[in-house]
Amino acid sequence: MKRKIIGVIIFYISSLCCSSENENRYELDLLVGNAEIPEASVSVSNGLAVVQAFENGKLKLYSSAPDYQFELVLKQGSAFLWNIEISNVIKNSILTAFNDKNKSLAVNYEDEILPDKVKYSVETADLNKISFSLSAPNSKEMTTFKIALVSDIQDAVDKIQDIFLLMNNNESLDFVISAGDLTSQGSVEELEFFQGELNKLNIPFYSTLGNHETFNDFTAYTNIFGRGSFQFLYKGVYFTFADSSRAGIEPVVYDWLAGWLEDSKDSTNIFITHYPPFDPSGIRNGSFASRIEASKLLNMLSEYNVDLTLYGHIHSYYEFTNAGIPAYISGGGGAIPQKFDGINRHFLILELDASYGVKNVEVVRVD
Amino acid sequence: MRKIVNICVLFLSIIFSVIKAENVVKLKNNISKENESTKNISDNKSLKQADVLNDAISDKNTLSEKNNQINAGVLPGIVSIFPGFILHGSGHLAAGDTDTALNLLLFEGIGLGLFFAGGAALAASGASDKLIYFTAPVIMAGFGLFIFSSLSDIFGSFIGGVQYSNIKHNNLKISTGYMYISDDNFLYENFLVFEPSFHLSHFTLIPLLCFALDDKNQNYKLTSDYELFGSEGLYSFEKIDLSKINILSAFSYYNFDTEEFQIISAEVMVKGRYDLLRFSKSLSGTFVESGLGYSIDFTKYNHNSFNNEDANEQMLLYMAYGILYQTKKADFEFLLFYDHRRDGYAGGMQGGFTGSMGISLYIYKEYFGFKFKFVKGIASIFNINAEFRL
Repeated sequence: MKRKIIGVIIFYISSLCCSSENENRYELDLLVGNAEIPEASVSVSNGLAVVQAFENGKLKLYSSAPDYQFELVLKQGSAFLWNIEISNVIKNSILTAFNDKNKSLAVNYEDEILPDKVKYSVETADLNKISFSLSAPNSKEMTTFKIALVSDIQDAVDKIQDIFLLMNNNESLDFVISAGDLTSQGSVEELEFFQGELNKLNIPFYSTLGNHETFNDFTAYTNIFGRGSFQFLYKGVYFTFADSSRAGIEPVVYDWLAGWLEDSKDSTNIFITHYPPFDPSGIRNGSFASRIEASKLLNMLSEYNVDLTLYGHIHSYYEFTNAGIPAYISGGGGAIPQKFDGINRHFLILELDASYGVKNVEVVRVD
Repeated sequence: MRKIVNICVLFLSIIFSVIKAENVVKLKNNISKENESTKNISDNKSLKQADVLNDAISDKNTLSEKNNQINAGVLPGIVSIFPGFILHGSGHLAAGDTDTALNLLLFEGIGLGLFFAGGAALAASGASDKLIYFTAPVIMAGFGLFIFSSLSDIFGSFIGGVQYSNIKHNNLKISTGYMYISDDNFLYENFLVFEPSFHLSHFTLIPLLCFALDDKNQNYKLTSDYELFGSEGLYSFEKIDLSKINILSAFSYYNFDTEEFQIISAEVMVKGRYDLLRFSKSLSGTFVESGLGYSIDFTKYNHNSFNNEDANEQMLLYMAYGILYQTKKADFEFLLFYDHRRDGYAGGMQGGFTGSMGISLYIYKEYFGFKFKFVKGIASIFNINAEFRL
């Protein structure tokens, strides 16, 4: 009898212990923007662009930020002319290049393939290393600017075009940011399809990933869209994205955040992540898996004077404060909408200023 | 292919059993008249509760033998796992206990029905915060019934029930031990735990003190447990067994000194335990527990004081499946549980809206006891306590 009972208990325990292990997503982030072929290697500073294609004489990048630098190291047999195609850029962005003696090189503007996709060429004869810098127009000026936020599109990818049209018609918008859940399952096919649909948007789209991007192949998002956790600076305002796709943030990312937030604590700083640390309707648990981790994050954001927190995941609109910081949940991209809340598909327009902070947040209803 | 054929054969045999069940119902009606005498024994509170319980079990076993013939063993046990995981009750069917097999299948169906109905309502409402009070408990109840019917099938068909006598309540228990927490987001790992409990009549008071040995982190909690129904309750059930209904309330304080925040919380929960001997003789010695409650917590961040803007509500849902096994040397209480809360050290599981799962083993004699507990949320917790019982 004892043996039987012990056997049954062991069965129950083994059932409990069959939980999947944590994948270290941050390791994928570290690989973004790096590629190597026998004739050359490329490295994008802070992983702010994905290397979509890299052949001898041809480089394709997909941007995660308006401004960033990248380095091309040329080896024996390298082509004398390099064509560089950069997607997801702000219109009229300027690419500058310098050799390893910091001497400026001529960059030829070849073609505007799409409003946010540009082709350049650079002659590289007798060069070993070229440092490039992509800069959006007026990105160093501390002027007021507007951006849009849309999240939680999921299986409504066929309906997103009218949201893109509204954004295109608003010429004051510089770019769009997203808190993730761009697709239903996060498969390569879905992500590539969504990236294709972004061609209908005239301005860049910078995003982190949501939990739906991890349902299938959790590496797909990073390979196609880039890092889940990163920071960039635009017109004096810092944008800090954190990957919370597993209802929490990885410990290494907290170390990154501490560094990024320290750099930006005296400036206007916008924090974007998919899961809200706390669900405003706490009963629902549409939040971080651990409430003590949620408190840890909010304490950190409060300590570094973050000005605004933006979340997705919940398919509705909420405005509240967390740890004294203004917070918005906007999951109006088209995924099954939350009922009985008086709002359907929507997106936000944020008016930001480096010296003033967050000047205005406007809700644009689509349906 | 052979597996599919086996499942079909099993399914057909269940259908035939339904037809056969009509005869069982007639037999049950006769037995229910005999049951009256058992109830009278239970009502007589002047007898010692332990004797009453033993008599009740003895009588019930005698009666059940006419109804729930079970030949528990390894083979029915294996059947209870496969195809039993798909068709709950398969193990009992293989062991010859048709009545319990059908009931378990019925509970599996109800469980799945509730799970999918709640899930559909949750999805259709876009996880509306207006309906979550309804959808979340329905989903969890459905999940609980599904798991309960599967685990019951496994236990009953492997073991076929174990006898037990009444559990003695000690007025004072002093429990102290060590807790290990694996959570990469925090520095602490090793805790000292002190958890005495004071029992008087229907009421138990349980203070809990946890101190991190390797970090500036503490948790203090004061829980009051009032037994409303049960062997020690304000009101007794007609049948005295392991079943009980308690009202729990608690206040707790967490100090995360290293991370510079504190949390205070208050909670209340109604928690019940149902003795599965009431369900089937083959499940004697097992029980299910469930609880529903509400908590609110307030977080004090480094720059702020406790305030309403940083208050967070939480629905408390608790489910457990337990086994009580008594020997001359010691009593063993094993528990497999799910806790919906996300505010403790364990947190909830990654993703979704779920809480943590765990197992506990409580071994005790008259004056001493040991408790082992493992909880898996986003963090893993292992706790071992020694207990002195007076």
